[in-house]
Amino acid sequence: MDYVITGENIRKKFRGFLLDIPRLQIPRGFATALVGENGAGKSTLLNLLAGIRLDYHGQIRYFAGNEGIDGDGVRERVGYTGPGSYYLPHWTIKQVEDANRLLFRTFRQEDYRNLCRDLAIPMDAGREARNLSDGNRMKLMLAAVLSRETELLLLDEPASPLDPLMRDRLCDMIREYLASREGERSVFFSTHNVADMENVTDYCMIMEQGRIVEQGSVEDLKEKYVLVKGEAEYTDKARSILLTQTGNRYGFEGICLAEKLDELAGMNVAVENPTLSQICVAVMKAHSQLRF
Amino acid sequence: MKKINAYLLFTGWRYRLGIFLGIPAAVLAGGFFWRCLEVETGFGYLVVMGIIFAETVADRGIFSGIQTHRGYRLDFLKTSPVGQEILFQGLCGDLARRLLTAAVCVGGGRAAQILDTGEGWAGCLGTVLTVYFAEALGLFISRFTRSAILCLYTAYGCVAAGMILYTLIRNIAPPWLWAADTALGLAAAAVSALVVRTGMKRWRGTYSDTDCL
Repeated sequence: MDYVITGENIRKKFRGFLLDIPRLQIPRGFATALVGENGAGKSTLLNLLAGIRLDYHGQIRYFAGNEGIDGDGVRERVGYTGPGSYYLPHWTIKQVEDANRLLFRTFRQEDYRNLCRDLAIPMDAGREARNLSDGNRMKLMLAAVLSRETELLLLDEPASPLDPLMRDRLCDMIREYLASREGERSVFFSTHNVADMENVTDYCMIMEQGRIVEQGSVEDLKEKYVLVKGEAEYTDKARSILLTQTGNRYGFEGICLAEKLDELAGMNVAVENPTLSQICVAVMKAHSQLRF
Repeated sequence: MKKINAYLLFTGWRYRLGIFLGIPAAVLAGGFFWRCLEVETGFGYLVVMGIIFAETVADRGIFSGIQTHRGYRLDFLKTSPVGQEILFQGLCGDLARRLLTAAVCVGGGRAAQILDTGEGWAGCLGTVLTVYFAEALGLFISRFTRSAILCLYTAYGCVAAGMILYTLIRNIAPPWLWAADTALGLAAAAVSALVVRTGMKRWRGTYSDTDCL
């Protein structure tokens, strides 16, 4: 398999927090979701990959080559969307266009204007970025980044400020982006909205406390984890085997590793395929410091 | 053209309106008003005070805080291969524009005085450099903070420094004006270099998170 980004021994230390990823491999040609709790290190990792923060140990290489983010033409080929405060607050839609035209050689003004229109971004002259809603600011960033010729998109929680309809549109945009140069373009995005983004996700990485604790293709993860439903009388017995468990007086359900199904023998359980969202919650819960 | 666009990238329409047009217009209007009052002296001081104060305070609308410890991150520049170059051009363009504004305002004010009193251009260059030097000094100091109050105090301080220098310039015998102009020019160049160098250094520092051990 080709990888658009490979990383080794990536370490970045904060007070009380350590980002520690011995090996990072982001598949080329696919959409990879990065999921994790608040403070897990998702934005930190994305900032390192986008070249916004360079204070880390280890190596990160791009596009199957031996070059880092400052390699020839790498930044031009990488598109990034960040938090809502990414652009200068006094910038208008036109100034965002002018900025992107200055900063990126492959920026296409016509595509930008068309995307702004298609995404229903308020185009009235003089409307400043600070006066846009969070959702419209995110749409503005997406319009700008999709108006460039890139091979990799790094999107930091693109779905968070978007309404459900726009999230669906975002999934379509990601699919179109990947399909436009099949196999050559990749998307790596962090998200809390796993359920909404699942239909565009090919690979998933789950982060907890600065580490990647689980990763794989969605199909592989759905084979590795199962959703188990059983009767109430076995709730306590099943608790130690399941990663997550919810129950009521009629029964229980939860996620467990497929390899542990044998331990549930005799409990009369029904097994189903879990959703990616259920898998992510289960894995995060197994590694979380939250008290349940 | 690209250098101008790089500078304009950091300015909003309010800043452009107030600074590019507002200050020269205020100086011209003030000069006309001063002529109407038929007061022979003082207009030069007013121009020096006004430009230094307005430019130092108005910097809050452009590069305020760029030299603070946590910096002015401008992350959108970091994702671009030419982001660093654009910021450098923006900082230099800002200083160049300030020198131009000082030259236009002081020159325009002096032209009005010449029409009235027949006084020559002697000392005009020194005045321009005085205004620019005091402004640049104000920028260098005020960009270490995001506080509006501290910025205001810095502006007051630089106005005072500018007034003192302007008074000295006005009282220098003409044969020695060249020495004063040279000294001011060198001082202005040094402060300008410091402003750009410090701004760039601090911005490059924001590639690192400050609470990283």
